[in-house]
Amino acid sequence: MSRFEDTLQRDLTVIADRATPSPDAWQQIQRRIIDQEPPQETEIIMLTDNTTRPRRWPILAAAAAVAALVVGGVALVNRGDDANDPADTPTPETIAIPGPDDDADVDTGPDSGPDSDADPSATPEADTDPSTEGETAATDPRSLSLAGTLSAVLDFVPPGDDGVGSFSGDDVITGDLFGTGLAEGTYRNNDAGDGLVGNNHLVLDVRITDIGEGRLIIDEQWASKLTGSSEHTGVVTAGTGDFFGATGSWTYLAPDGRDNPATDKVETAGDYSLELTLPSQADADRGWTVDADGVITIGGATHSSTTFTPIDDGDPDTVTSVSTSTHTDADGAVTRSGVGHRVDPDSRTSFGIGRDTQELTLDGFGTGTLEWVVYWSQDPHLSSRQHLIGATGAFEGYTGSLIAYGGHPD
Amino acid sequence: MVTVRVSASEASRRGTRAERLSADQTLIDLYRAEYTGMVRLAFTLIGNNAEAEEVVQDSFLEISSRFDDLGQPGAYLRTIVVSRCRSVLRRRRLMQLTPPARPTDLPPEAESLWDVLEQLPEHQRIAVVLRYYCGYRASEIAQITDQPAATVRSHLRRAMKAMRKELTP
Repeated sequence: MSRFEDTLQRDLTVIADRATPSPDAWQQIQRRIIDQEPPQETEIIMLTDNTTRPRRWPILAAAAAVAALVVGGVALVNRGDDANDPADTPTPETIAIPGPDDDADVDTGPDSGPDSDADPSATPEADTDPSTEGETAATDPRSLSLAGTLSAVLDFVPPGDDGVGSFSGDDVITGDLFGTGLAEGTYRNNDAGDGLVGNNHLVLDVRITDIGEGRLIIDEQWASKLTGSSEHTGVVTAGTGDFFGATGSWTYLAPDGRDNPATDKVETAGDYSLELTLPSQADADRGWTVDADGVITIGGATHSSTTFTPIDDGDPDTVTSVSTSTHTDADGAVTRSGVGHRVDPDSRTSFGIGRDTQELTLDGFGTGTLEWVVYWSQDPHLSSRQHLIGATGAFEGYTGSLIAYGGHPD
Repeated sequence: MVTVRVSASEASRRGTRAERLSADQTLIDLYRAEYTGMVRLAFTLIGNNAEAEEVVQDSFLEISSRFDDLGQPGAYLRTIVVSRCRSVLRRRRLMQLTPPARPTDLPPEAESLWDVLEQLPEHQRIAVVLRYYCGYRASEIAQITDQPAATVRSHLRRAMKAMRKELTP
């Protein structure tokens, strides 16, 4: 050993001797071991009459062979005869855009009624409305409590000049919910400087026994300590497939995140809890379809698939794109264009937030523009959520939102 | 058929576990033999006493749940501690945190070494500490850090070159 190495050895020992182990460390360890012990459970199995057997949740009445799509169409509801009078300012509550919990053909205008609504698109929707046909499909939302384990392998990218870093990775989820997913989000140092806080966008392809398969999109916020444990809380922002129209809350507790030197990625695993509410069976049975050309049919209306044109925005990690699409109501053409989205070209799933300005002409209503904030993801399942932030012309003063869910084209 | 889950009461659960811990002389022996040394190792790696203790206590927590399956708990404990220290160093880098303050009572030579260690990439810092504080060979460091021995030697070469440049007058 060289003289330099001898000196190095000596000085490292001097540094190590400055450590001051706590004298009651064993008591602390003992307390923590007791606290982390999971509750002991005993299963008692009792035989009972089958007629009293409780159902955990309603069994789906029919196989959802057609992947459900709930509408992204625009249903501007007839305000009655007064709507044709341009001098008459419309009241804000008369835009109705069908979401997963909405009845797509319900008119909410003050004078609306089956006979006064000249919109022929209402006719086919009325035919599919179980409530008007007296069907016995379940009408209550289905609530589920799910729990299990989520493990993830995450790749962290250090912060830029703005102090914000990013991460992405793969998730595996087991338990009452089973599947895989993608995680992508940002993080920054928290105010106290002793850990990280961040946002995460989870796209989970999952299966629930007795319910089916689909995709859940969850947005969460999380905080971690320097040593790696983290707490996450979030909400279900969209569901597709058999979970279209899903809403819910999500928590995830990971006791430790560990670096894997072989992959240079962070590996983490912990327990999740998900409270999920699915639409009623009647809502689940109503949907829309996509043909081989990507044209979506919603009742009497169609919506063409969106085309994206990438634009080089100088950022190698993202692409800004412009999309155009056409929505055709049964009573006339409506064209929308000028969408700006940020897309991650390397992601298996692209998602983002953009703005959409829609020039709209509706027979019997007038012409104007609607400006939306759009939150979306695009993949074999389609999902988007839009919130109206501005309206002009015939639509001035209106507010509303639009939720679109999709499934695999049949 | 109905399945009913019955949870044991908190009091009886704690009592049972505490009795088990008291009886687990082997874990206590490991604690007595290794705890102080592991805290010193962790402190040398990450430079903060509180974090070093947390890392080592977390490692004991982890090892307690699988103690019966481990042939060499001491070696496994060392591997966990080093891995957790690397996680701390990595997060510190990702978060761009200010390094821990240097102890005030260090002799000048150790002060210089402290500053140089703070500048080393985490792989190199770990390799240097395991080699020159713990006395492990490159092949042993490779096992502890789950890296090829050649990679460890490369980390050591680069670290020594950087340290000689900074510490040699």
